Amino acid sequence: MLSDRELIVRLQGGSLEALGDLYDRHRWMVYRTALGITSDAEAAADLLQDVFLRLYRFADQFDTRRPLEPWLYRMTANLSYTWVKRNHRWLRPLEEFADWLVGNGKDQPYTQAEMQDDWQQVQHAVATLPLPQRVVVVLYYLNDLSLQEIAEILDIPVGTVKSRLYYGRQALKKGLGLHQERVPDFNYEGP
Amino acid sequence: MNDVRDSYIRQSLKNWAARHQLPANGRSRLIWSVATGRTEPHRKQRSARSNVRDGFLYRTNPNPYWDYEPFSYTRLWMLHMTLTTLLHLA
Repeated sequence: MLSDRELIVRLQGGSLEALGDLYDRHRWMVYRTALGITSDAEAAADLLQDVFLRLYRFADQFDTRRPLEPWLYRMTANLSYTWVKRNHRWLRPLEEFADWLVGNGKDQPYTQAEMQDDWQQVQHAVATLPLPQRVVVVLYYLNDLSLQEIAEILDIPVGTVKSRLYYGRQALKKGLGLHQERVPDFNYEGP
Repeated sequence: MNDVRDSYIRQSLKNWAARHQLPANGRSRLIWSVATGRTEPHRKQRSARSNVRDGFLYRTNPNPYWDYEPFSYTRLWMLHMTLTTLLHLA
């Protein structure tokens, strides 16, 4: 099995087979990251294609001494960031206004009861985080990256990553009612 | 930084992501896009302003590689009905 570096070298030579192999190897990681940031499966599918199209387009400029995954994470985060900014510029104030009109649903017990699954609650809480915090939370929790790796991917200081993660965690715990000691049971279902 | 609540958030997020299927034929669509030097046809059905799928300009042909037709069957039908009505009124 060829390494990422060998596949990149072949890709630089124009090999579409190498592009396909890289896609198969990293597609889940890219898709999951885009999905976590955008909360939109269709957008995540589009971004998945975009990331690998850009990999093909910029393969000549790629430094084969460096690992591929941070580049993929960075491209995915940037494209997802742009997508969210573009699509929620007008939508978010309208949603907040609608929430304000109907009252704060989070305080009503039936709202929590309606959300049947833990994963749905967590996803909803993540989707309401400010975008910089959301990107860090997705990279940290969903992709199991370290603070140092996230800092390098986003090109920000580790302290900034820690700060965003701290406030993101506080917001998540508040949104999920996790300040109590009792935490619901969960089972891991994914790959 | 790890505690039980962190584990709960992590596993719940992973469970949520795992419920989504990867797009079908992604590899072949990617290679097709690169080989033909074109973006995917279904992108053309998205409004450039809002980047949301435009319900009116729906694809009439189920083939994903079919090019978007500016004069869809719906538009032709509406044009036909409009002209027919105007001709009857004239």
